[in-house]
Amino acid sequence: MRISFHLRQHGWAYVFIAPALVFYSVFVLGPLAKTVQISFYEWDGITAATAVGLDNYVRAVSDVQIIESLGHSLVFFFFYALLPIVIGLLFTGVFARTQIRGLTFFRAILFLPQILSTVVVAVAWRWIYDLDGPLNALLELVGLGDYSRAWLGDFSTALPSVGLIGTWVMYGLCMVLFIAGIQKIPREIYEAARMDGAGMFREFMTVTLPGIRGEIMFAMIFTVTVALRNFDIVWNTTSGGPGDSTKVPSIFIYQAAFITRDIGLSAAIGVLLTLLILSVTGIIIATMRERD
Amino acid sequence: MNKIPRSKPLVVGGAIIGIVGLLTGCAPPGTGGSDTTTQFSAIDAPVTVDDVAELGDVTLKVWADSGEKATLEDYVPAFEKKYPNVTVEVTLKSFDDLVKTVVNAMDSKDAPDLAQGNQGYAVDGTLVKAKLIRPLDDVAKAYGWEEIYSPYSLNQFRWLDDGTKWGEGTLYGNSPVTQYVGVFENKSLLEQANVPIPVSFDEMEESLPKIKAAGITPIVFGNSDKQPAMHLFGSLAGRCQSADVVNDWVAGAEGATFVNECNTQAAQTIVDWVKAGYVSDGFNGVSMDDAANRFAQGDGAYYIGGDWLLPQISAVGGNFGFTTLTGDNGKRVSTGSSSVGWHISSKSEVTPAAIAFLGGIHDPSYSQKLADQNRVPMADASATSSDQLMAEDIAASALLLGDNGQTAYLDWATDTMYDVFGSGLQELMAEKITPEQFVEIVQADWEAFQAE
Repeated sequence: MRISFHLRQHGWAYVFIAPALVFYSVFVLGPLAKTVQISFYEWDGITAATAVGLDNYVRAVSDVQIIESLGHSLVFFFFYALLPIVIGLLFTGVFARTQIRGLTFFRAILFLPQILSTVVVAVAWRWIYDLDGPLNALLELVGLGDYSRAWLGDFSTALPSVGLIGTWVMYGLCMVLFIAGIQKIPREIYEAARMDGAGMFREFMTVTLPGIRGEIMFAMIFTVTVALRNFDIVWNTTSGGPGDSTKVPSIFIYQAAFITRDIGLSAAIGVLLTLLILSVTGIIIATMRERD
Repeated sequence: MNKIPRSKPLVVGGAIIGIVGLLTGCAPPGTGGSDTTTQFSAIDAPVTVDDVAELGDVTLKVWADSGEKATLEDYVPAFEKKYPNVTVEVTLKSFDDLVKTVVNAMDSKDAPDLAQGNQGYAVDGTLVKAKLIRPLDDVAKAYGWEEIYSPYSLNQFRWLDDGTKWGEGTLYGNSPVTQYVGVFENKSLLEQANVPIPVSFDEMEESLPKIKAAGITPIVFGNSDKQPAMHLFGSLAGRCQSADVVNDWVAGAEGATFVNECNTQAAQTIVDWVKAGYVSDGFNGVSMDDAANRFAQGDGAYYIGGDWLLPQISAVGGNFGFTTLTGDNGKRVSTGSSSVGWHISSKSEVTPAAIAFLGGIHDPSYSQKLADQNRVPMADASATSSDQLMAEDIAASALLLGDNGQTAYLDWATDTMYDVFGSGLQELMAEKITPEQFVEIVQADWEAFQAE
């Protein structure tokens, strides 16, 4: 009785979401389910697979290199998520007070890194970081020539250097999100705060931040997922090198799938990474959610 | 935001579980491999024009590495003229794309009839194991390949029929050209440093401090893609051991070990050279191609690398030379291979045409054409090139092959060796691990693989 009533009330809604649901099931849920299935087999991609139970998962969590790569992903947390959000908030705090001319133009420019193909970004930054590239040239120009080096080839600077590329890609998105967010905050609240004697910082903390809470949550989810699953920027700049210093879990997924043809292991790492990302996202939503 | 009705999450959750259950209940992935060997009809004489004509109007689908462009542009029209009922359809792929897609392509319904693979367990090994390529022992016999091509050049395409062991067993492919690692010299810079052109590794090593003293970078090097260090190591490891020792280890011979004095010394030499400043700065951030270009622009005296870089170095123009250096016993040993191998699909319906294609390309009569295309042919020793650097390449190759000095690429040893060896060398050169630790790490990966 309840179900038929429910369908009568919302029947058309299901019809409208049906195409999207089908698309989603076929292209997202289906492959996901297949990946989970493959993770319980040892398979080279072509010949018959052998069932191995949880063997691939055991291998994945006991591989020192994979554990270390998780550590590198945590470093990316800082560069891909924390830094862009902080930069975004900083600028938003400034913009909230002032009237900016040509805001549309700036928004487009700031958003550009997001639209560029990551391969293009990687190639461009490899040139910037090159031994004979503009970054080193700039350092030499200002007299800091001693610091110039092959940024992506040095064991100590490779990871932060790749991280900064991520920061560059993500900060524009955060900024655009937050600026759009503050447009929603009624002017009256700002005026009221100002009348109560709030300075710039107070205003930011009590009016702006709470007002764009939803946008911050979205930015956190988006940037954190990118930080954890990023492959293309790392692969196209350093291929995980030098040594293992910039390896992240997604590189192991790629190597297992395409180079050593250990598809089962690749699937297992993928499933584990997915679970990790879902957990982190869950934590973010739980802590940042609007309390109704 | 509206409150989500209570039943909705249940419906969605149920749908997801349903789909997952449906797919998980499906058959395990992969096609069952049969225990029988690949069925094919063996030939006992070279394929004739009539044999091919019997096929009627057919298309021969060919997948090749982009390095074959010049060769195929020359060979295909001539082939189509000789066998007018055959249309050849060529797909060129970059090496990276090829090795990642060829196995799946050969497994598909529209598999190419002829495809290049890559030596090693990942590509060739999988093709053999999945019975996707046709054994070629009968073709080798009919076309006399065993007389024309050296044992090493054929053995690198030999596999046990289950794909578990490389280097012996049935022949599954072949290639008419060879590529190897040698030493490029900038003759002008050597003259400037007042150093003679070296013939042996000892002489080359002696020249390094003198070149450095003259203010010239001795060795131009770039290792961001991890391969060049492996080539460098392969060259140095050839100073003090025979090719057979190295190849036995790569093939997984019982009792073979990587932990020996020669390999440890080679690793030590690399570290010494880096410490002494004989190697160009910041090499971990420079790619193989970029380093070759810098060498071509005159950045340093030597470049130790593969002769496949010769065209781009030669194109810049300059007073360059190319050679293989002799080792401790006066012999030349260096990493090299027959490029990538040609394979015939076991599912091909135009096999006679495919065999005729391979027969022609591997015939000594085609060698001079290959040399003209700036490749080093093996079938005919008298092939020459008018390009001076290319001529040195061919001459050096003859010396190397004459000394039976080609060693397999060390990363063919196991399916994970490329990364283990490559990353290991990067850490060695950054002095994060010692030479002793390096050879142990390599041997550990080898032993783990042999145990599988």
